[in-house]
Amino acid sequence: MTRAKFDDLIHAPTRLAIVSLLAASEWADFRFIRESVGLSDSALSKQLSTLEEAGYVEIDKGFVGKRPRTTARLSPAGRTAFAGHVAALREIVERSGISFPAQPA
Amino acid sequence: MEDDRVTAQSAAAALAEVRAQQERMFADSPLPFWFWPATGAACVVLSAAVESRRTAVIAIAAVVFAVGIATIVLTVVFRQRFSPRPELLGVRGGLTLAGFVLATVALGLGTGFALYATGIAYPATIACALVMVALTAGGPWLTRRLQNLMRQAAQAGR
Repeated sequence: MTRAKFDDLIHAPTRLAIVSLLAASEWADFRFIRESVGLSDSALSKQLSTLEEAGYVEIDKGFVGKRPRTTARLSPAGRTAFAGHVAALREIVERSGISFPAQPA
Repeated sequence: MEDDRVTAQSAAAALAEVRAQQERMFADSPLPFWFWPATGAACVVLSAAVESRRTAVIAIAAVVFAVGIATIVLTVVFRQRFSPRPELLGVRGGLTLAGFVLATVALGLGTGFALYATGIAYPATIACALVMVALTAGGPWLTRRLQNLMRQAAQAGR
């Protein structure tokens, strides 16, 4: 059972979008994240650096063939923090009585 | 009762954003449209070469097959922009995948042996061609099905 724990760092809308993507993946390409959340290169780099400094994200710079590729992945601490944050959000919604689309089975 | 830092409405909006991002992740197929027919075609080429029983043809086809499959796989790998967590497949995903593989193998082997019994020429090649059609039709379905299962698992917090 995931312990609900609100996380101010993750809750910022842009970082929440980034972490949501990474939570469903083992790793994601920098360009894919940028296109999905609609940020510029520099804005995304800044957000990823913030998450990396917090220990939530690991960034890997490598090559695919001769092309450089930067990928990001959630660290175990990041996954735990995200799961706790989502649990906290759900608790807030449930306590208020607002209906939210049911989770798929 | 609401958390001091966030209202229930904004919490619901945040959860909707989480869901939207994860929907986006599984919206597009990770495989190009030509993946399934190309894989099937490579098998047909190899099968036809083997059934020709000509050594030179078999040798050339084996090389073409290896290069073809390597090219197909590497193209998909290089195109890959993210890797979904394998555990999102779950038991249902594993069973779906296994079922698809078994069904295509059964189709190929069953057709091949049945045609062989009739004495028709190139039975395995014909069977492979049928499997190629099945892969072309069924492969995209399999991909969508697995993506749906993974999306549901991600949204359920697995």
